[in-house]
Amino acid sequence: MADKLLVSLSAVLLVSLAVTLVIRTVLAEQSAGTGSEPAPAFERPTLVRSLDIACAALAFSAVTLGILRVVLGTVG
Amino acid sequence: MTPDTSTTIPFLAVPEAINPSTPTAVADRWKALNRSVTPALAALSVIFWLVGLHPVTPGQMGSLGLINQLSPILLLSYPILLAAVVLELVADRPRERLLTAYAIAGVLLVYGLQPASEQTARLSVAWLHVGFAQYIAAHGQVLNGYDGRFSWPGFFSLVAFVSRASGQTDMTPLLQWAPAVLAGLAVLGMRALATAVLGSGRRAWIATWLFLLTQWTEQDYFSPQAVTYVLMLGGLALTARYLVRPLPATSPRPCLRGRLVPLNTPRDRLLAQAAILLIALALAPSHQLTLFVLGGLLLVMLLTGWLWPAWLPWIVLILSLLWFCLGAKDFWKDHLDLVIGHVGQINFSVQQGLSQRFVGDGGRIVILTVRVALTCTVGLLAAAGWWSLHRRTTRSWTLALLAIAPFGLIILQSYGGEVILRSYLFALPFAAILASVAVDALLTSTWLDSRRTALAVPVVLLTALGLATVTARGGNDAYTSFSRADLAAVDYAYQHAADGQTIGALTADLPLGYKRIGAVRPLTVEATCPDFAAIDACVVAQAGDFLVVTPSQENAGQILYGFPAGWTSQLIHQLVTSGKYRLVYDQNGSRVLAETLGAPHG
Repeated sequence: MADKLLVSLSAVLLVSLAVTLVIRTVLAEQSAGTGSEPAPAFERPTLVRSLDIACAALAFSAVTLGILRVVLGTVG
Repeated sequence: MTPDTSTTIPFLAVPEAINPSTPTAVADRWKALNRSVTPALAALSVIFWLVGLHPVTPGQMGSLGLINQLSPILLLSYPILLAAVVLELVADRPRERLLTAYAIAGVLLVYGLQPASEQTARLSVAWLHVGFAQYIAAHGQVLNGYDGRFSWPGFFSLVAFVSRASGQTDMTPLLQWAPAVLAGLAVLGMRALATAVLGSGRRAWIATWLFLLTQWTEQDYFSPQAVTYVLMLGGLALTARYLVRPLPATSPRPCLRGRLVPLNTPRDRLLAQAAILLIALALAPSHQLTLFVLGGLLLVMLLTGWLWPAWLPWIVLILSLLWFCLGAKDFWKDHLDLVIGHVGQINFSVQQGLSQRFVGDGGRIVILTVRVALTCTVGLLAAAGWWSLHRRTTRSWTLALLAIAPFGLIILQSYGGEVILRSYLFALPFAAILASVAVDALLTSTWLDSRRTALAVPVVLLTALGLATVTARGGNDAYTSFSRADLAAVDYAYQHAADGQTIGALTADLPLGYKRIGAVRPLTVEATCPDFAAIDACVVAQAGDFLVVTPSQENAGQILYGFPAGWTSQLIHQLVTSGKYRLVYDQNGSRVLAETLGAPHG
């Protein structure tokens, strides 16, 4: 039961991560332009930064749940 | 300059451009000759190779493997082809189409040699992979608890899908030429990566050829690692072409915090990132190591300030970790210690991957030495190339770190004694790119005595690398290749074995497991016998319902364990005279014994 719950939660987190990542990447690339501008350093817009944090949180949660599954599975 | 005609006789005054004796005209004639010489040499090379081919069976081979059986005319084809390649590369305008054709010929000469000269596909693992795919095709799912490789079923599922879609239930015909096809695709991937990193000039071709001529690891057989390696090269090539700036071979050192936006459109970059993500999604369930390596290489690119999208390496690593946690339960529930049990034990990994492999007779040691020498030569050439690049063009460490990073696997685990071999395979693309700088410097060097020497040195070097790779790749063929008679013997055993029975082999060198996975159990005495030198007792206790004995196993015993010639025949004689087994099949030295109680009748 716990195993199935962990897998389901991880799957939900992964789907959320995928959606957030797509939105974040499209926004970031459009802001970055063609790279031919004279200013070399690119600053991420605030929205992209927020989505970056959301992606990191989702990815961290999914990985933690996965590792928890392995630990519980091998100990159990 | 206008020629002075006042002192010349008008009808003898020949314009300089067409005067055959002037230096320019000689050079033009030489160039014209050269333009037809290289295709002629390449054609001659392929003809020599085809003429020199002849069938070889395991029974004919000694401990040096295939190289001893190759005819001189066939061996001559390699330097001729490489002379054509070098002459074309140093031409004023190298012809891309011809160089492509030469590369295809090179793939045929190096990777097509064994498929063309041996009767059936080699390597027992390749046959087992067909069995896995056929099980999935027949049952629509993997067989849990059977083999750890079923936890990464992507490749097997793909083959099963092709099998079902095409109606071709027997996929074994794909095995024999798989190495040539998969290695050819890897060479194509290497070419794409080299042009993305080095541009479309001569160095990119040299890098491609160095890769082609030094890939001795034989991980290009019908296997998940071969297909995922091609995909990984594709992912790296896409990354280098669309997602990095600046090119590491041409520019000053970038930095992590001040990464530059690549000079292309957002659409190009989004498509490239989507494609790499798709590749990562295909790799995650297909092979346990490749995606980790891809993620690691992308991470190196990011940390050295080369890679633009910072999220890409992390998501690739997360995908590989999550598949392990969520998709490979069948593997880790019993074998987690294999993955994390040797982390940090570098000595153990080196012992397993190097020193413990140096066993066997003199010929075997020669083959192993050739492999080590090849690896070291590539390493030295790469170091020389990096030094040349570092001194003249760029102070970036990116390429050097990319070539070294795969050897970090040695810290993590021994990978069943194969970690050094796998590390070399993954390091080779970037090592070849660096080495190409050194070889290019040889071609254009001014310190060599003459132009001829400057051309001869690379030809000799490339020929030595190519022939060493041919030697190394065929070095185990005395026991890893099979004859049609061997296959017929195994087929006989499968035809007569009932469900639940076992088919045994003395060593692992037998094409077992390519059919009836889960119904008939393949068994290898070598794997289960605690002391293989005392094999007689083990065979009696463990050989199973059928025992298949072939010349390949005879060779394996002689080469790897120092058994006397004819040891398999003596063993068969003992088993038959003991009454436990009876000989039910014998063709060209391939024999099948059946346990007396369960022996087939008629």
